[in-house]
Amino acid sequence: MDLLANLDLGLAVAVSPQNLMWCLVGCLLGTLIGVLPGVGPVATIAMLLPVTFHLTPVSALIMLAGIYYGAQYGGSTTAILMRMPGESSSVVTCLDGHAMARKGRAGAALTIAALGSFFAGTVATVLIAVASPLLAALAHQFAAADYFALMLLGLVGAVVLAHGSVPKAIAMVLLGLLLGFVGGDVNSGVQRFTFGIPELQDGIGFVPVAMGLFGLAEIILNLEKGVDVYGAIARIGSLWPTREEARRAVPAVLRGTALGSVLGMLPGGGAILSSFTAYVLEKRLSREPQRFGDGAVEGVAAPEAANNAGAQTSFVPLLTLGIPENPVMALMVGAMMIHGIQPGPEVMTKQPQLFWGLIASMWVGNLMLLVINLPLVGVWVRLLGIPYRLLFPVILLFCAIGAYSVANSGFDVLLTAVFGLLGYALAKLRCEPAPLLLAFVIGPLMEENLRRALLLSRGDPSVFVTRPISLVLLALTAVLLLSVALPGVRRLRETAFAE
Amino acid sequence: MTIEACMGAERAVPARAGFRASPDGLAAALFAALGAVALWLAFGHALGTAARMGPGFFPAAVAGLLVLASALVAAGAWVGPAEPVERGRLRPLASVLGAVLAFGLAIDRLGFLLSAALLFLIAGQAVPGTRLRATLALAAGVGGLTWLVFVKLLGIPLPTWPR
Amino acid sequence: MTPTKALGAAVLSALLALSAPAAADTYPSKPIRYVVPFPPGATSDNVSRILAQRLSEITGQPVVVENKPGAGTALGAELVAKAEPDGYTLLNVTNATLAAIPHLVKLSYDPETAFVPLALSGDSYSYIAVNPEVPGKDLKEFIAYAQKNPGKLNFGTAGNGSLGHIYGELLKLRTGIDLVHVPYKGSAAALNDAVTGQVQVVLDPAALPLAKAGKLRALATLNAQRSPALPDLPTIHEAGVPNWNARLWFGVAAPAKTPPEVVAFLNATFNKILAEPETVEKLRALNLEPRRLSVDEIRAVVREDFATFGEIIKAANIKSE
Repeated sequence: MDLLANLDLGLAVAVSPQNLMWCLVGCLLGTLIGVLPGVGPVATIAMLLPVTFHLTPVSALIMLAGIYYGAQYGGSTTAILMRMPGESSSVVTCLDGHAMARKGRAGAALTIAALGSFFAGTVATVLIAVASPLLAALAHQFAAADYFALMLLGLVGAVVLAHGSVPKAIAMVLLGLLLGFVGGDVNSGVQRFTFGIPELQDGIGFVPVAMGLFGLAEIILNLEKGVDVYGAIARIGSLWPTREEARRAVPAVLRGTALGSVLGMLPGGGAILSSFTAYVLEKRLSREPQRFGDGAVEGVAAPEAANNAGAQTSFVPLLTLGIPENPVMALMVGAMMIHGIQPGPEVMTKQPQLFWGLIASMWVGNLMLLVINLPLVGVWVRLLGIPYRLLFPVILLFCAIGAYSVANSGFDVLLTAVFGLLGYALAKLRCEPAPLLLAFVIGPLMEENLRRALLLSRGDPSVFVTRPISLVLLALTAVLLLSVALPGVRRLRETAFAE
Repeated sequence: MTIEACMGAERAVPARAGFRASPDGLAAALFAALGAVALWLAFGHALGTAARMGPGFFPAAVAGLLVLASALVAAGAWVGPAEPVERGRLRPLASVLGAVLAFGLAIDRLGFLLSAALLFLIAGQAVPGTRLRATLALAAGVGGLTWLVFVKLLGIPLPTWPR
Repeated sequence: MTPTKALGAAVLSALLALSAPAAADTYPSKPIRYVVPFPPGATSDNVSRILAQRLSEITGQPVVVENKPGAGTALGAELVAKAEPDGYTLLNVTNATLAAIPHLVKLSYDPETAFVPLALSGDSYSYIAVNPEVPGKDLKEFIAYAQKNPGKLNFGTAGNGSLGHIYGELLKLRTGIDLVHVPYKGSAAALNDAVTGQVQVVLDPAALPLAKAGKLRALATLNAQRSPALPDLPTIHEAGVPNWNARLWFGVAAPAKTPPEVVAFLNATFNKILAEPETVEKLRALNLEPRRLSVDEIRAVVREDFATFGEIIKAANIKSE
């Protein structure tokens, strides 16, 4: 069979000593930058591009890909231990992952994240190998109207994400949308909410917002309590999940993998949407949704599986069409062009050793990451035994460097402090930052696609109901909206009448 | 603490701490103010029609909804159980934010090593009784190590020295 | 590192900076900043890394590529425009930065006098391509089809004021057809929607691989000469569109007041690099055709483009604030 022959070819390429070594280098670097808050794969891959001039194209791509998915593994570490999202895809892991850590289950959370990521990575890699063209065709069914409907579903999902009061969650979503408007409007080119600051013309970056709202606010609140908060995390707990935790995690990993594999292929918000949606789905399916936000193991397993599956399938548009769907993939295009390979539909047939070698190396890399990460779990947890007054300035420094490295500008560092203040205020007012952050990411995509859909239909709004994908997604949105709104309304009335 | 606290808010015993002092009341005021400002800014752009939206249409709609939502939050604060906002402390807040701000302002002028030292010095003020010598030792050790990792290993183009 | 030592080094480097202009004959004596006003992975970034590496090898000084994206290249350009004119801060430019953006954005520097060009590292081949289901096997037939269906066809671009946008408006001006502009965030998304048929037309360098694979149908090369990658494809002149004078090229610039000896040295060095077979090969892989021009020749090219882009942007009322 063709597929077996291809995979055989791919594996032969991937396990050559040289490629194995570069794969390992990539995975190690990826894990490192994933663990360091704020320093993302985009900056790292960009800096390493010139290094890859001297490698063969296959080795170069294998290493760069390793950095990308290695960062997905590493990103969950700081999210769980310090409530500090290293990558956009690990924001949601902060919620229950850190809650688990506070209960002394940091080791279990990290182990589940690593095992779930490995499983998801394996499945997604097989999926790419077997069905790349099919997957690409599936992604191609999505038009602007469908994207809009998907983003709308995501926004309503953001309200579900919240733990406490529904009106406050709605307000946070709206606030996130407003922040997302900052910068040039894609459709008209007009600058909105920029106050004449040139650094804001391309919008507010994700890293300053996420690190300010989550990371800095968390540090300030910890210091206010004035106790050695992490001592407890470091001491207690076995590193392995209990039988009960494993029982809950397995189906969540399966669902997260499926969801992440599909959503990961969609351009723009694919990665973050897949982890958020996986979380929301688990919370909706759970019989005890109140456990979420309080250390539910499903809330770690599903999004971690989803973001790693998504990281793998985000290669599909690149491999099948040569079209990058996110900044990391754009860098991969750059890496291929610099080696004289024109990324595009012809890569699969004209460069089979590159195409299949890269796919096979993804699986090899995932295996390596599992081997790297499992022993590290104990090291990370012990690291938190360092007194907090020594630890927190170091975390602050990492945050500042991370913010700087996004655009090599001090402005983003200042912005991080501003959002730290906002995050602190919101925490005091008992408003959760997660819905704001999700709305911030998908809001601009939603508006862009809504207006594009209407531009393409020449102003006819019926496109949203005549396209089957859009119709189904809008129906789902309506159902989800009702299921959120009704209990909220009932509760409000009950309290009002109880007075 | 945010999440645990929010959970508590829902089940808290009515304490009637008054409208203004409650977290929900203050949150409502914050949302209303931000929504109003955004609404005003959004009206500065062309609104267009629903079929051909201008750049102001979506922001205006969202800002308007935020004002509405703040009313909902306020209503919840009025009828629901309330408890006072947990008091904050200025020292950790000011030193953490100050440290990051100082780094951001200094990095392009003073370079990485001096900016990092500045960050450690200011952050150290968050915890009473931090000794200057210990802070400087930490700054030198960690600053040097991070410089090696970020600038030398990862190649992030942070300016090392003042320029 | 102790504060005192750091302070000492600070004073030292400040002194070095002051003495630099006088030491033009020893240029370069310290690392060179090479600012790229685009994010990593963009063509500008790739070109810069190729040139920076060779410049570093030749001069023996590190040449550090620094990505400063933002505000449609204005952020990075401003940084260099206001940098010390000592030859230690260079800017990777496209003619869009020098000749198109000034018509679109209010800048904090004077684009006509802020820079001195050092090299024209490559003309870029761009293509007009359509979704394969669009009728018309060549540009003439496509234009005839578009004339019969005014306002029905969409062209997707990388955004308002992008080169694709300018190309599209120029096509409308020169042929009288009516296409609807659909802006995207970056050309990848626009190309994707052209493949799926959401939009029918794209005018972009990156249409090449998709056209080669039959996912799009290339109608013409938007350059004065045919593209070596698609030698059978006519240029837009050959296809019958008159007076097509928009183009895209990449280059290197420095602050205007850079000492003439340093400018001459860098111009000569870059032209030497652009003559090396390996460099030429690498640039051709990025679909660029390197040119070797003197500073004055490049200035003339910039002036010409400035007028052309100004005319198109004004005539088509392209806006990007």
